[in-house]
Amino acid sequence: MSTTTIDKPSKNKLEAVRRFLGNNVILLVLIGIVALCAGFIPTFRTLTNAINILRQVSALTIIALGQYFVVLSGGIDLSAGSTVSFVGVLVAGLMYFQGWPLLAALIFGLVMGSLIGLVNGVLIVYGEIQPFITTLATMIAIKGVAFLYSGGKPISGMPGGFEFFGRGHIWGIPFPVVLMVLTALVCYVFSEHSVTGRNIFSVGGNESAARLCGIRTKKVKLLVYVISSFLTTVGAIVIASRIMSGQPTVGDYMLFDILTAVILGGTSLSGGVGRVGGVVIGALILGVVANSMVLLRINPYWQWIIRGIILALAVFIDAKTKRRAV
Amino acid sequence: MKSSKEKEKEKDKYKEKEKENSKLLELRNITKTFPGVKALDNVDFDLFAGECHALVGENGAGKSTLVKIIAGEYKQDTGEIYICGNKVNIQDTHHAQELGVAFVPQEFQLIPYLNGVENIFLGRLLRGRFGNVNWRLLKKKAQELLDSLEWKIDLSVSVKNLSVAEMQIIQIARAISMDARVFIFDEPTAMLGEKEIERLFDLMNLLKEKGIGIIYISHRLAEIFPICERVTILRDGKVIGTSDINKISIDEIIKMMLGRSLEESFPERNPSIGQEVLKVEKLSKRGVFKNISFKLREGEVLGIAGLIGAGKTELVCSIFGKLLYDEGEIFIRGKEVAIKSPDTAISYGIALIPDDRRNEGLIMSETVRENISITILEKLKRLLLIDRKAERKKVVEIVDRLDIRCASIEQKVGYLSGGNQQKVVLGKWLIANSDILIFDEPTKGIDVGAKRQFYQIINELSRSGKAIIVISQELEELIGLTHRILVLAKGKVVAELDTEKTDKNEIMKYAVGSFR
Repeated sequence: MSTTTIDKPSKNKLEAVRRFLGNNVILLVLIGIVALCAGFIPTFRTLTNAINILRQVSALTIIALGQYFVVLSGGIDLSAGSTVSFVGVLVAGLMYFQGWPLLAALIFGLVMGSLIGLVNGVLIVYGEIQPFITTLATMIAIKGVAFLYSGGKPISGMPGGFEFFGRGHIWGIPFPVVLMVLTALVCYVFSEHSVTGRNIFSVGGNESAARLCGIRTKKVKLLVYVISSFLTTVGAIVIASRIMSGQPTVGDYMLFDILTAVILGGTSLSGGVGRVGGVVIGALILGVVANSMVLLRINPYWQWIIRGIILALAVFIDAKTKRRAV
Repeated sequence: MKSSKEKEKEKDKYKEKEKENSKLLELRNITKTFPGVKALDNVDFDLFAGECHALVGENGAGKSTLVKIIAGEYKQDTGEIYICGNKVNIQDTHHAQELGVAFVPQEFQLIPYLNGVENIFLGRLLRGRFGNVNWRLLKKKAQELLDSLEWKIDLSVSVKNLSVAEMQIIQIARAISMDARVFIFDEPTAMLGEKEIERLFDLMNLLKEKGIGIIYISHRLAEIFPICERVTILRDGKVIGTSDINKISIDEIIKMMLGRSLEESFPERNPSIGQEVLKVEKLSKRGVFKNISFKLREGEVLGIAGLIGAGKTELVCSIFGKLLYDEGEIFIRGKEVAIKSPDTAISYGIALIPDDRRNEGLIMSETVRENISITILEKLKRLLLIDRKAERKKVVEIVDRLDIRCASIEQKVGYLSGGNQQKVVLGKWLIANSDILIFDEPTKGIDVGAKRQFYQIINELSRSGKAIIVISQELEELIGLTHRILVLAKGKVVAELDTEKTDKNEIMKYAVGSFR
């Protein structure tokens, strides 16, 4: 046997610390931003504000976790933003126009939302259309459906009880935050410890090798789009409940934040690499930045520019880390 | 007066001599190391004008690394390159082209939807007065080029509609249009028919007359005798020798390529062969292979030989369900089975170790553990989740059994050497306990030490009762490992040979059909 290159695990403590930091750049970025904000903005460092931030990012995090699985499998789901609008007006409309009871409207909303993912998945897997194009098409179409159904106007006047999903509390903790934590935990266990989760990594890492290992790649690819739109639907219900109305434009600009959170969290756009924790941190960074910009009364137009810079930065990190990984 | 005339004469003579001696290309002491392998070790190589110089060696001997250095794809660690006597420092492929080096790779670098003219002048389209492309001039130039090569090709159709030989000519025409003086041909005849090969050789002679030097890589040793002037033999990254072609025989070349040690590295074949496990009957896939029947028994190693394009890989991919066959039947332990996808094949105990390990065998972004346990995740499930402890234990067993050298099972497979990567690919089938193992070029691109280990492993597997199919370009390997050899040519079985009673020449004879 000739020489084999071996990466020796470092016993050196300093090296171990360096490695930990290298693997958790994004966590350090979050800590850094939080420290900066806490240092310079007095109103930032209150418990109320912290809970506020968490509540504000909860829907985004849930939706981004859905997107995470799609990106992990090597795809992309552009239809998430429109789905948020559509599900919001659908659930609101079912209760307001049709007078459906709350539970029925919610279940129907979840089913319809997931159906969007099924359509995306079928088009991508069996129609062999590229994910980008497929979901671009459904994004546009769903937006139309949302406008048609709502007549282009916000729907409000939903029965009481609906506001619980966006404004309610469990043991003093806002319900959306509880939901976010639970979703993140389930997603973590699913992606790291279940067979299907592991298969998603494999399909994203090398689809043809995964197929040759007996993984039903089509099934896996179909599933991730359903997961994505299911979680998007859950997030959409939280949002509609918080604003207590179904607005056909509410998801218009969400897609940028969703993708930014996923990429910022270290998910490789070419698939196969990513962590649930990273996505949560990515979403938290966006939340902290948005919150502090509001507290500092930064001009909203400038806020857009800053968001753009963050997205570019996220992609830059993606490219850099990819080069490092062989 | 006289003396000055004489002097001039002498000068002329000297000049002529210089011309004769002028080397188009010279490499001195080239060394190149990849992680885990010394690909080239102090290699010297030269090329004269008007000469065809064959570069031969086994897979992994360093041929392609060497030509890739010349073509600017890799950079040597140490050593010098001289072009026409000038020391050069080749930066990248573009720079190599500027220096007059043209690489005609095995896989064409043509844009399928563009036509011949566009492909020939790719990236160098001439502009007219208004910045528009001067198509008329380009067309004329391209036509002239083809005329000079004595070929007739319709330059106005997309190159995807051309034959393989015609594509190759387009590729050559592109190189000539760049004023290349050094041509590198990598297995140019692999995809060509007999007649096309003859025409290619005519063309190469034409190039030589123009003073162009050609570096010629081929696995078909018989081919290099009519066309080449010299031959250089590489083994394990070292130059074993350079010789005039008429001073060396094929047998000598083979001996130099293989060294003496390889034959000894084959363990004795498994003597006890059991029941029939796999039976393939009249399997056909249109345009790829036809009417193929064979049987495979427990503990048996069946070799499949044939040239590139004979349909070997496609055949085993069809048995594994990666490709679909059109007609025929497959029986496993006497029962007919319909294999429509790899997962059904795997459920019948079939395993494929593909020849392209980077793209089909491994998931580079994952760890050794994840790559090996991938086939048994369902079996590792307890309640809903994977039992990590059991997974680690099983993976470590395999890593130990195959002697996979890695820092830990949590190391990414991308960091392993070729041989260890290949063992990881095999490992995932051993962990799944597959009993029909198909190896497609198992020792491609791994070093000699790892090769030997692989021969041992294949032997041990056959002794433990596994049924094994081995595809290999290296006949030595097939003869050393197998019980029987199936020879394919143009998608058909042309011979089924008892390994004990055959030799390389006979296999080659069947494989090449009636070539020359």
